[in-house]
Amino acid sequence: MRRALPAGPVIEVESLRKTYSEGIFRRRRVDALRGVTLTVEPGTIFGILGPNGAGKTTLIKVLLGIVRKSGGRARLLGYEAGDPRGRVHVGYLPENHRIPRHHTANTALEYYGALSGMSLREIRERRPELLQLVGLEKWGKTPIGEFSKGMQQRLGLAQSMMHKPDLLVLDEPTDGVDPVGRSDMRAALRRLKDEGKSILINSHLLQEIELVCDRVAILVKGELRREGLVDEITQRRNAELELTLHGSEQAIRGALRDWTISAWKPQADGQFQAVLKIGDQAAVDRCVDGLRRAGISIGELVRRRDTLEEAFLDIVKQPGAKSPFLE
Amino acid sequence: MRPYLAVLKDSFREALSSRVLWILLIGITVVLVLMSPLGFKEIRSSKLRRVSVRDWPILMAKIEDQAQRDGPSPARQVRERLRPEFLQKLAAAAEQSPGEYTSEIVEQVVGEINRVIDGPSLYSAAAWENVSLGKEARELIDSGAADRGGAETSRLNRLLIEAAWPSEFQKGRKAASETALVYLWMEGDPHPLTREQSEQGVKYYLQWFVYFGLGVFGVFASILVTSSIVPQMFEPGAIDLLLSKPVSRVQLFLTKFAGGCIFIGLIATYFLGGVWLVVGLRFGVWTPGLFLAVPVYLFLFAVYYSVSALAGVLWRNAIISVILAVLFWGFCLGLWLAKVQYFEQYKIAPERFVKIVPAGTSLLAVNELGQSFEWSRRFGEWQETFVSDEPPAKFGSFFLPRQLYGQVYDERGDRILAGVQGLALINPLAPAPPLLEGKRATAWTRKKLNPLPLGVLSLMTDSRGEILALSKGAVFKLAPAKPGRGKKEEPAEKFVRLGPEPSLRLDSSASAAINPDTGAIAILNRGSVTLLEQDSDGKYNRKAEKEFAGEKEMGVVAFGGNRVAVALSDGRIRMFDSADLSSQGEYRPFGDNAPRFAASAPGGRWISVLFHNRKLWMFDVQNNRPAGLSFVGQGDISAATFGGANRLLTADRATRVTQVDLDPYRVGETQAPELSKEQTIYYYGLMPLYGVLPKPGELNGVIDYFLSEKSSIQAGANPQDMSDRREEVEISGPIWSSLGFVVLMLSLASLYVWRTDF
Repeated sequence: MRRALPAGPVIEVESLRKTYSEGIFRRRRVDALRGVTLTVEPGTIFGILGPNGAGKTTLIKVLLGIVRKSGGRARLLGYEAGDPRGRVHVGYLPENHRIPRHHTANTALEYYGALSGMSLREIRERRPELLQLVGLEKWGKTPIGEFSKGMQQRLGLAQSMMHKPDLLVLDEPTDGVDPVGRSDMRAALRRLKDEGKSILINSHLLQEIELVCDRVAILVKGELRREGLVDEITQRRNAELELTLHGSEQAIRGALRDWTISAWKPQADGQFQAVLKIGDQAAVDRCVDGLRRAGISIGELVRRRDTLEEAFLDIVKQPGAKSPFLE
Repeated sequence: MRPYLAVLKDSFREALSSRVLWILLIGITVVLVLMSPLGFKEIRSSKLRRVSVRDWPILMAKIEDQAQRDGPSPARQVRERLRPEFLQKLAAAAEQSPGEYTSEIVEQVVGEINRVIDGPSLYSAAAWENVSLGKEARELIDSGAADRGGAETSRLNRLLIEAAWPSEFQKGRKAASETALVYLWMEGDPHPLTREQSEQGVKYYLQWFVYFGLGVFGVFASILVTSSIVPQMFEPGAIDLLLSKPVSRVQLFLTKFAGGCIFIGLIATYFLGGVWLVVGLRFGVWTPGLFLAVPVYLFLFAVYYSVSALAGVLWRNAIISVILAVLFWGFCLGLWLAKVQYFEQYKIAPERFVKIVPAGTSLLAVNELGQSFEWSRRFGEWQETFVSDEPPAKFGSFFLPRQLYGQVYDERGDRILAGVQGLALINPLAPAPPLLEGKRATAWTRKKLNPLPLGVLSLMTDSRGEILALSKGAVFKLAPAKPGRGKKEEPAEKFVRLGPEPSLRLDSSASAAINPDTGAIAILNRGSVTLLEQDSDGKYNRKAEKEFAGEKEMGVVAFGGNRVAVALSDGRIRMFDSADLSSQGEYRPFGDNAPRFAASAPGGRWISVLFHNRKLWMFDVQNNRPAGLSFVGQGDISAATFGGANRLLTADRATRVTQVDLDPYRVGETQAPELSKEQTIYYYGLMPLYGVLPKPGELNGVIDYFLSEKSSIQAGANPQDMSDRREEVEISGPIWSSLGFVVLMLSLASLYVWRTDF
């Protein structure tokens, strides 16, 4: 029954536009997506970042056919966005999702599993392992009304993975989940990636994205500002090397004369801490070689790069955007 | 398929989690438990009552006839016990008013027969040899009750009489029994109800019980139970999850809708199944038709649910859904009440003309209440006429809506004559009803003339302009009593008997028609047609008789040219040749709709039958086929009269009279008064609105139809009279309009669901 995954990208978006019209009489137009182009290859964990109102959720809804696109192209697992066949192998956890209160964890999984076309037998087989995976194995018969926000989020995640989808789309998955739960979730996502599944994560928790994603796209006001490997985005600018060195100040300064010292701090025991502006790995190697030739011993070496957050803020505040937030 | 089944299942889960549902289920169970002690109790009786026998004169005449024959017979056994002075009285009564007893005589007959019953045993093996006796009677005979005297003998006598003339008795569920309603230890008054009557009674109350239980309360509760299903589905966060699944939005929505319907259908089935069991077990009335009420009710529910669902899609709020659905429910119910229960009942129906009487140069018409009107050319309106010069009775027209009947125009006297419906049923001491007269010369002022013969069924005019009255026993002619006596007042007139001999024995449900050209009379009585012909002296003789239908078949008759048309209550129209009553064809133009009036044109070319659904059917005798004409106001025609050999007058829209030439068909003059304020509201406000909106109220009629299998509801007082007003139950109309409405609501909702970005 399960079809082979198409060889091409799991998500292909080209010049995608979406304009919402609101109000019946005085129509107000809101451009949620203004020509976004991006591709997600199979087997990646792809993060979408952006301030509120950047169009992240709209992008996901267009891909899943919940919202109609206004222009451009969008394909999901090889099918036009909106084609139900494309949704067969997708698991989706919406932001602030709401599983009807009359369900228990068990019946909810049964319901959504069946909606994805699973048989009752398949559902019954799959359900226990999933509940265990999200840590709800003891709560199967509890009505959802009694669930905490975090438990609901875990159940939502279980629901999205129920039918073993090839692509998992998670909108703010760690909302309301405690740190232990987040760690569990990260482990689960990595395991899925190892199984060759693709995951699209939409989050404003930058650390989460940084910890788990391979690639990141940054959306601002409906436009794609940056897309690439997490390393690329964080390494590109302001990379620094922090060194703790033993030797005379003169010798050290001499060995480092080729580099810009951005900070200099004498320490106790004749040690000095220096922070250098060094970008790529080759420069770091040369710097270390130079120090060793001068007989200076290196107590500690720390490569400092931008956090994703710093990179993100930097990108969002680039000229052309007055404010990261839509007015 | 699997995803949609899951959605259905989810609808069930959702409804099951509703508190209202459990209250509803407990409520239904409590009602069923409370209902279960209700039932009938059979009470054996030996005494007869007036109502025990269908028609006393017919029973007594049968006893008299059969006693004359040789050999032992039940009739002889009974007649032997009757006292001579009683027999004399009976003979005198039969002479005076053939076919009908005065109330006083009936009392005496009942008393006399009860005396016989209380006397010694009537039983003789020889006399009852050819009579099939019931189990109880045979046991009583075997046990020797005949010789013991007392209660057992009386009981046996009663059973013997009933067994001898079974068709004359109103049958209880068991012979000679009466029925009383019981609830736990409480017991109601016993009634000599026939099995059919008590079943009808049970079905009548059942219908209302089901209507209020399901149609009103049930719908209300169902709206509450299901109102949250659709809005909850579209809640933000829930709908995203659903739409991300590989399913179609519209099918998802429709499945949710269907889920609610199926669920409510199951509850309705539980309720009706319980009622069916209780009524079947306790009353012995098994009505499988009750289960047909489930789809009807479900359909009714679907009408409101579709409104609730559309609101749920648009606003995604259960409260708004409930409020809108309940408001809509109230509006439809209010509209139905206003139209059917107020306007039609009190404003439109009573004013409808049921009879048009061309009176020389004037045109008169009679409405449902029996009031007469004359068309005033000068004012262009109908003015009430044929009004009594006596002060009106205080409650007259309210309690007795059809006091006058048989208005005929007497050309020779230039006057209108009419009968008054007998008051004997209500007041046994009331005097015999009089004939009423209104002369043109006195502006048709109504006056009492001489008394009518007892048991008059209809007043007619023959070809020579004679006024005839047909009673249950004979034909009478209105003739001057003592001409040339020289009184100042108009000469007193008297009804003279014109035969036939021996007397007729007509039921009160009999119907008759006179051939306007030959004066011959055709009578439909208990499923047989009798033809009476006038000889040269003006006396009537039986010419032919033919039994063709069941005993209980009622109908109306028309007689024109050589055709006798009998329109039966089941909607069939049978044609007979007047020479030998041979069958000449059968028609069924409007299904099982019952006919109300039939008439024939002078000259005999046309025969018309007007049905209770106010549709007119015309038969072309000359070409021996239905005329296939389309009449003005078809569906709202309440009266049709021939005004000449080729001219028809019809009344539609209550009081509009239209003259029509039939061959060639041409619509002529119309007498249409201005619409009254109520009529304007009714015809231009209520009717169009009512036509467009679903008709939940009328679905009640559909349930009634399934229960009683009758397509009309008696609105008048007399079920024995085909011409009494009946409300036709429209079966297909309300179903189609409601279905259209549901489809429209669901289409709008589906379109919205399909188009919207969630």
